[in-house]
Amino acid sequence: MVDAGLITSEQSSRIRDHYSPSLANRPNTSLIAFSILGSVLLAAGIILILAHNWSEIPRALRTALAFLPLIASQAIGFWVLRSRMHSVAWTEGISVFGFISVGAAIALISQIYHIKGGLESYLLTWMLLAIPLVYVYRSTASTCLYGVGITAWAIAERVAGGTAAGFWILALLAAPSLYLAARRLTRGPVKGVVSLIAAISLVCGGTLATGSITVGMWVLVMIGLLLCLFSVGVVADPDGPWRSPFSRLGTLGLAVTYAVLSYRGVWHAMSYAVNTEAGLSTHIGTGVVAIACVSTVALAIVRRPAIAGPMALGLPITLVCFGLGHGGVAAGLVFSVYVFALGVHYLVQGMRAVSGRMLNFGFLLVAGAVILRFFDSDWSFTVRGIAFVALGGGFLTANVFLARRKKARS
Amino acid sequence: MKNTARWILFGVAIAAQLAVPVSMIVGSEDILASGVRYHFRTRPVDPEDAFRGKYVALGFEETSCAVDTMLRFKTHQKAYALIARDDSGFAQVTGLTPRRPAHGDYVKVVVTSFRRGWVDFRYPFEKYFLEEENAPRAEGLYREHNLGGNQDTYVVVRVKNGAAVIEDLVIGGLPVREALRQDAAKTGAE
Repeated sequence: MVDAGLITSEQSSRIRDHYSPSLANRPNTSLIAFSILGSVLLAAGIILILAHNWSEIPRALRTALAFLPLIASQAIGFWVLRSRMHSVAWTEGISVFGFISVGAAIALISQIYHIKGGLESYLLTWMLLAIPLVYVYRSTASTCLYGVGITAWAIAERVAGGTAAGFWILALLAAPSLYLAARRLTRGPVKGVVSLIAAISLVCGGTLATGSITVGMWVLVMIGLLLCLFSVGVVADPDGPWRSPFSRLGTLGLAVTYAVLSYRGVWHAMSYAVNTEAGLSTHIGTGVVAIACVSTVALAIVRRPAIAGPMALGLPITLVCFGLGHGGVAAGLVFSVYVFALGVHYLVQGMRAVSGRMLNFGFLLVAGAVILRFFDSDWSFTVRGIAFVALGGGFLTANVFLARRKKARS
Repeated sequence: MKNTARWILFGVAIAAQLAVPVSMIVGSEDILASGVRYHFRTRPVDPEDAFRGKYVALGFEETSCAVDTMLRFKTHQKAYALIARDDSGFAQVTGLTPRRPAHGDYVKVVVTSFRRGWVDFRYPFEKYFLEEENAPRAEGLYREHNLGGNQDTYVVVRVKNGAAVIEDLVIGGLPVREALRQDAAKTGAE
């Protein structure tokens, strides 16, 4: 700019001085990423070495060695707390190293004493011992590891025959950390990854923790949770729907779920038959999900009725279809029509609002509804070919039309 | 978070992270030192599931038990298997109860299936960990010795207050490490 004569060299240096302090304070993303990666590799390497060369080492020494990574992580953690808390690279790195070391210490001791235990009890102990690290070091990476860990625990707990209702308590333990991370992080890939992990953990863990009051009720709970995410994105994002990871994951999850529900086969495992093994905690969890779902969806419908309303309609439709019976033929048909209609609706909305994102989402739904029916029908190749040509032609025409409208507007 | 609160949380975290593995060690060492020793007869396991990396998967003869027809059990439920020694000195399950017994030796087990008057269950000791290079060889020896209907392959377990810790795996009448050494010597000589 100085060379072009737009500003003087004095102005240039003053601008540089104005911005340089904030640039210097900005954490170096690549350094943080490498410190996390380095911690993971270091911890994994030490653990692999300890776990391998054990054949001739006495049990007492093996036991002492099992503590080595944990004690090292605590000692380095002490030093970081005293003199390196201002460095995100150090806090994130030591937090991840400590997180892995805790899990490794329990696993190695279990191995030395041949303690079988269940995966669910191992993961629960590990997560409860590791959660303080998230707050001690204000670590985003450890929050993500914790999210993955509690989701894995919910899966293992259900496989072992438990209710996984404790997922809600485990998730609440991480809620303040997520809130702080959301305030701390600006827009960018890190915030996107954290949001995505939180959203996936909430949907998977929440569904496993609550969806067992009736046979197949997990589908209703999953739709409810996905609608929550979708609605939060619709309400909270000022730039419109499908901008935030919550909204994107919610939309994608709902589209896939509705498409799968258009197959009659899946309805065999769904009914209002009560599962007697569901406990009080399951009922409470399901009640909380229902309240959260209804309130967020209602808010989204009030703010943006044309976008939120049709998507939310899937929940009452599923509730009705649970009682339809007839081997799922009627339910499958209802969802085929619903997905098609939903697609047409978003296609029209996309045209009106001149939004390529919405138009193409609508088109994908229409195409999905039509293509999925090809797989379980006896239509000839000629009919299928004509349908594909029509879909492709429509897709191109709609986008060309939209591009012209955008150009005319600008 | 304020600095003092952070230091307190750090102290609590360190204490808990050390206390849990230490309690696992102390508990296991106590059982190994003062628990009652039982020999559990093994049986072959499904070869597809047997070797899973770094351990020998163990199968046992005594994994089901007749119970009072009035009792009801659920799958995955915790229960207590009462154990005693049979005429040949091996562990034998004499009963199963949903409540912790007041006396006698017992092991905490997990119910895998229930039919009226009959319960199948799983022991808490189904893995014997070994180094990666030894586990497949031990697995082969274990299977070989279990197939012939031999009585010389069993697991030595220490039992105390419902908890159990494996002391050794005996294959062909020898502790597993000795069995591996002899097998290696035999293979080398051939």
